Amino acid sequence: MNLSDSRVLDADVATVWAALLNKDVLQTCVPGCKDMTGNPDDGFDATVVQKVGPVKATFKGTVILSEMKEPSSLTLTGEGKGGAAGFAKGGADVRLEPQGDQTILHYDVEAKVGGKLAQLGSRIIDGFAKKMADQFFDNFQQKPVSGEVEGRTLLVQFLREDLHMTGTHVGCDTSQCGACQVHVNGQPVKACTMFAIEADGAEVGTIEGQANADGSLNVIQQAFQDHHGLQCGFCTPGMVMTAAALLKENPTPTEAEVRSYLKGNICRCTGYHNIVKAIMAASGQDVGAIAAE
Amino acid sequence: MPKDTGIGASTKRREDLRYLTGKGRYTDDIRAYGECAAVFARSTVANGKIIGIDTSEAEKMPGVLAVFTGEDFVDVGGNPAGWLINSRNGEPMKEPKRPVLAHGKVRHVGDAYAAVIAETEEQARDAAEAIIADIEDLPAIVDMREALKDEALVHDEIGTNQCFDWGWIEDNRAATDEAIKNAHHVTTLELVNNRLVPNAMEPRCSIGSYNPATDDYVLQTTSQNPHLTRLLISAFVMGIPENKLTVIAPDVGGGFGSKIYHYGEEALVLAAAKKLGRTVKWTADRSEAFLTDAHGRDHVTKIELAMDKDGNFLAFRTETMANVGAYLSNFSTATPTFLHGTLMAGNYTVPLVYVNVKTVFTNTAPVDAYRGAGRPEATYSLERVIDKAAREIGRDPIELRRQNFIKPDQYPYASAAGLEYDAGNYDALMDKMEEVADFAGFDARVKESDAKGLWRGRGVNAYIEACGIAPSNLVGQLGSRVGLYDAATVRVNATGNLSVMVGAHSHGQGHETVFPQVVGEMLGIDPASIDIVHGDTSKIPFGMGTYGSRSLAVCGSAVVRATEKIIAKAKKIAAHMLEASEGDIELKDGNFTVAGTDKSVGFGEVALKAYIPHNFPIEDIEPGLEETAFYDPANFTYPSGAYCCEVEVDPETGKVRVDRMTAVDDFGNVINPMIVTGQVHGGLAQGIGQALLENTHYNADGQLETASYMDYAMPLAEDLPMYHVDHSQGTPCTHNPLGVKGCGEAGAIGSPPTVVNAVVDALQRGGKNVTHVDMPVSPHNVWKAMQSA
Repeated sequence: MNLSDSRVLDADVATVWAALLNKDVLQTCVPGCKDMTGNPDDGFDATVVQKVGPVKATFKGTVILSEMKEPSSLTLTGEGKGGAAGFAKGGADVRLEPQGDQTILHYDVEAKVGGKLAQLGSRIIDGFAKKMADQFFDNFQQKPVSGEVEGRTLLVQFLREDLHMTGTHVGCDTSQCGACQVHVNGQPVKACTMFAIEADGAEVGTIEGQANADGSLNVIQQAFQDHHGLQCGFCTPGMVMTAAALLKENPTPTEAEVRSYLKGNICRCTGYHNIVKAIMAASGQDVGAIAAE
Repeated sequence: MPKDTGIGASTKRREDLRYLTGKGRYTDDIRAYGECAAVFARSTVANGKIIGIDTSEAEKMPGVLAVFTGEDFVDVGGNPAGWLINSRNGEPMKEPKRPVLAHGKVRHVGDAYAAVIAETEEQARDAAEAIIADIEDLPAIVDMREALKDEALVHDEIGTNQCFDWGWIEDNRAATDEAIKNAHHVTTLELVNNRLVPNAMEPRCSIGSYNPATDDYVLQTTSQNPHLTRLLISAFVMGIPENKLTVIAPDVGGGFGSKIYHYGEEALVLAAAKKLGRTVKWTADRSEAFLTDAHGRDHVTKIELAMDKDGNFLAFRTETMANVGAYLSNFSTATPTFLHGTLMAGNYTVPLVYVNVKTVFTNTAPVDAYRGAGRPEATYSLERVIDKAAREIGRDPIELRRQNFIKPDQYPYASAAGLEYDAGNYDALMDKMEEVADFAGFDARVKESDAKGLWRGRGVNAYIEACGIAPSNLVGQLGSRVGLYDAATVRVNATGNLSVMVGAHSHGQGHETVFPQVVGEMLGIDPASIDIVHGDTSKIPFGMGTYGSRSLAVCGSAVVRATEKIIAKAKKIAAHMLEASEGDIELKDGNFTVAGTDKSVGFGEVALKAYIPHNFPIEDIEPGLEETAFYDPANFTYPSGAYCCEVEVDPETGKVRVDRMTAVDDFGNVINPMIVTGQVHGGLAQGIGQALLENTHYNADGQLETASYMDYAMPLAEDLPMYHVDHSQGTPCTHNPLGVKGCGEAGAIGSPPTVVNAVVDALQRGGKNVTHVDMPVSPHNVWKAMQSA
C-alpha cells in the first residue's frame, strides 16, 4: 500500500521540525498512542491501541528516524506487532517546505501488513491508513507545540509570542474583555487568566482550529458572517470561542441566556444585536422572529 | 450582474473571512526580525514639576538598549492642533507645545516622561520601574470652573487655563440676548455631557523601523488616518521628509475617533528605531489606553430656549465649558466649536442661535473627537431642553418638535447656526418612527410594567448632524489647517481585475466590501474581481482617513470620479478597437458596444489592450488604464433621524432598563443596508452606554478612578436590547454622486437624549417631578433625583 499527500501546517519549518523529533508531541499526535519512549537518535518505542475494522489490538512498535536533513527532510521507518492481529511495517519519507509563515509537509508512505490485518483486504487497510495519517496530521496541526517559558508568561502570551498564533487577542489587563477566550481541555478559559505552565499537558483550542477541515467557516463562524456579527474583528475570536462553549453547554439558548453568557466578552462595534442573532442562528433557531430590523 | 452584489445589496463582508479564522493582521500581530520593545514610564501625579529623572539604574538592567527622556526631544517639534480657533475678541487660541515626552512638567496621570527600549517587553518593563523620577507634586487642576480662576496653571508659559473663548455666531449675540429677554417663555437647562473613554477593543500599538541604507522610516500603527499621521510627523514633529516615511495602518481593531490622532509614542518608536538600527514595538496595555487615549465629550452646559406664546422657537442660547485636557489633541479645538456650535439650530426653523464655548486646560488626559464629536453634545443639549420646554408649556413633545421642523419644501435651508442643509424630511422620519416604535401598543406596555411594579417611560428625539466635513475652502476660512477632501486611484490591471487605492481607512466599516459594490456596479463587472487597498501611504495617493462618517460621502465620491475617468478612457480604447466613434460607445453589463449595433468588446479585452497597445493611436491614448481622483465636497452632508426609547425604571432601586430602542434615520441612498444597520447598532450601544453606564471620573487629585473595566462600565450584551432600525425614508444628498450622507455616528448622536427623555418621562409618570437627571443615568443618580423631587 502506498499513500502520498501533503498538508499545510500553521507553523514555520523550524517549529514543525522540532515537533517531529519531540516524543511528547508525537505521542499526542499518534492516534491511540498510550506510551512512547526513546529519542530521535536511538528511535522511539510506542504502544498504540487501535481498532481496524473488526480487529482491535494493542500494537507495540518501534520507529527509527534516518536520512535526517535538518530542517527539510527525514525518513521514518517503523514496525508494529499486534500479536494475533498481525503486523504492519513500513516507511515514510517526510519533506518540509516553507510557505510564508507556514509549512507544507509532504509525505510518501509505503506499508506492508500481515496476519489478520492482511486478511481485512486492502480497501479497509488503505482507508484505515489514510484515516490514521489524517488524524496524525490533524493532531499535529493542533499540537505542534512545546516550549520553555518564564514563570510569569501567560497562556495568551505563549500563544501569541512563542507560537505566533495571533488570532487570540489581548484587549485588557483585568480579564474582563474576553478577546483572549480559548478552550482548555474543552472548557472556556480566558488565556490571560492562566499561566502558560498551567497549561502544560492540556489540550488548548484556539480560533485557528475552529474552521472546518477543508478551511471553510464552521457553523458559528458562518452565522457570524451571515448576520454581520462582527465589524472590526478584534473581539471576534473570543466571541466565537465563547459561542462555541455556550452551544456545547446549551444547544438552544434563549436570547436572555445568550446575553447572560456573553457577560465576559466586550464588543465595542456591534452593539451585540447581531452577535446575539448569529449565535441563536448557529443553534438552528429562527432569528427572524426575535429581531425586527 | 447578480442582484446581491451591486449598489443596494446586503453583500456579506469579505473581510470577515480573515477575522473569523484568527487570520486578521493587527499591528501587534506583526513580528519583525530583531524586534525590540518599548515601555513608557508615566507620571503617577496629575501636575508635577520634573526636578530630575535618574535613568542610570535602568540603563544597567538586563536587555536594556536605550532610555529616552524629554531631554532627548527638546529640539523636536510639538504635536499640533489641526484647527485654529480665535476667541471672541479676535485673539488666537493658546497653543502650548505638546512634546513627544514630558519635559519640565508632567501634566496628567499617564503623561510619559521616559521610555525604555529593551530586548523584551518584560525587560523594558522591569527597567522602566527602575527609573527614579524626582517630580515635585503640584496641586491638580481638575474642575473646569476652578481652572478658569487661573489660581494654578496647567501650562505656566501661556498664563491662563483658558484655551479660547469662542462665540458663534458672534453677530447674533445681541439679537439672541434680546429675543430671550423679551420672550413669552424661556426654558433653561443646565446639564453635563459626561466624559467618555472611546475604548476601541484593540489597544494602540506602534512599530517603528529604519533603513540606514536609504534613510527610510516605516511606522506601522493603529491609525484611522495614516496620511495625517505621516503629515504631522513630517511637517511638525520630527521633520522626516514625507518621501522618507511610510505609515501603514494594517487591520485596526476599532477607533471611534481615538485613533485619528498622532500620539507621541509613534514618534518615539521612530526615533528609537533610528538610534538603535532595530525595529521597535510598543503595545499599550488597557490601563495606558485609559490614561492616554484621547477621551471624548466632557462639556458643562447651560442652554436656554425662547418661545412665543404659540410655542414657536425664537432663539437658542448656549454657554458651554469644554474640557480639552492637558494638551491640545489634533482635532480638540474643532470638536467643541465647528462640530458643535454649527449644529445648534437642530432640525428647526429657529431664527437665532448663539453659542459661547470656553475651552479649558486641566490636568487630565487630552479630550478630542469621539464618535459623533460635538454633534452628540449639540443634540443632547437641544433635545433635552426642548423636552423640558414641552413639559413646561404643556405641549406634546412630538407635536412641539413638528411645529418647529424645517419643512421639505424649504430646502436648501440656511440654518440660524450658519449651515446650509441640502435635503431632509423630518416629519416623514417622525411618522415612520411612530410606526416602527409601535406607539399604538405603548399604553398596554405601560400597564404591563405597572403590574411588575415598574415605571415605563417613553422619550423621543429628532437630530440632524453634519458629516463628510468639508469643503476645504469653507473649513479653511473657519481655521482648519488641512484640506478635507479625499482621494482614490482605480487601477485596472492588464488581466482585467482591479486594485482600488482609497484614502479612507477601514477598521470595521466594511470598505473592502462596499467600495467594490460601487465600482462593480459602475463597470458592470463582478465585485469579486475588485480589491481595495487602504492604510498604506506608500500605495495610496493621499487621503484624510476615516472619521466623521465621511468614508463613503467623501472618499466614495473620489472612487466614483476615478471610475468615471476609467470608463471615459476605456471607451476611447474600445472605440479604437471597434473602429467606431468614441461618442457611440456604450458601457452595459461590462461590455463596450457601438450603439445600435452588435459590435462589442468586453471589459477584460479593453483592459488587456490598454497594456498591450500594439497599433495604438498613442497621440490620442496613453497606454495603461489607471486613474486618480481627488474629491472635495461642495458641502457637508446632513443625516437626520427620529429616535424613540422606552425604559422601565425600578422605583425601589432607581435601576433603568432600556426595553425598546427605535432608530429611524435618513442616510440618503444606502449602498449596503446590512452594514448600515450594523453601524447604527454600534452607535446606539455607545449612546445608550453614555446615557446609562459610562463615566470617566478624575478625583480631586487628578487620579483617574475609572481606569479599567472594573470601574468603567462598558455596555455588555445584558445591558442592551434588540434594536429597531429603519432607513427607508432617505432623501438623497444633493451634492455628491452617490447621494449618500454617512451613517457611522448617527446612533451615538441620537440616542443619549432619547434615553434621558424616556427616564424623565418614566419618573414623571411615577409621580416624581423630576425634570432632569445627568448622565450616566445610574441607579444612584436616579435615586438621588427621586429623593429630591
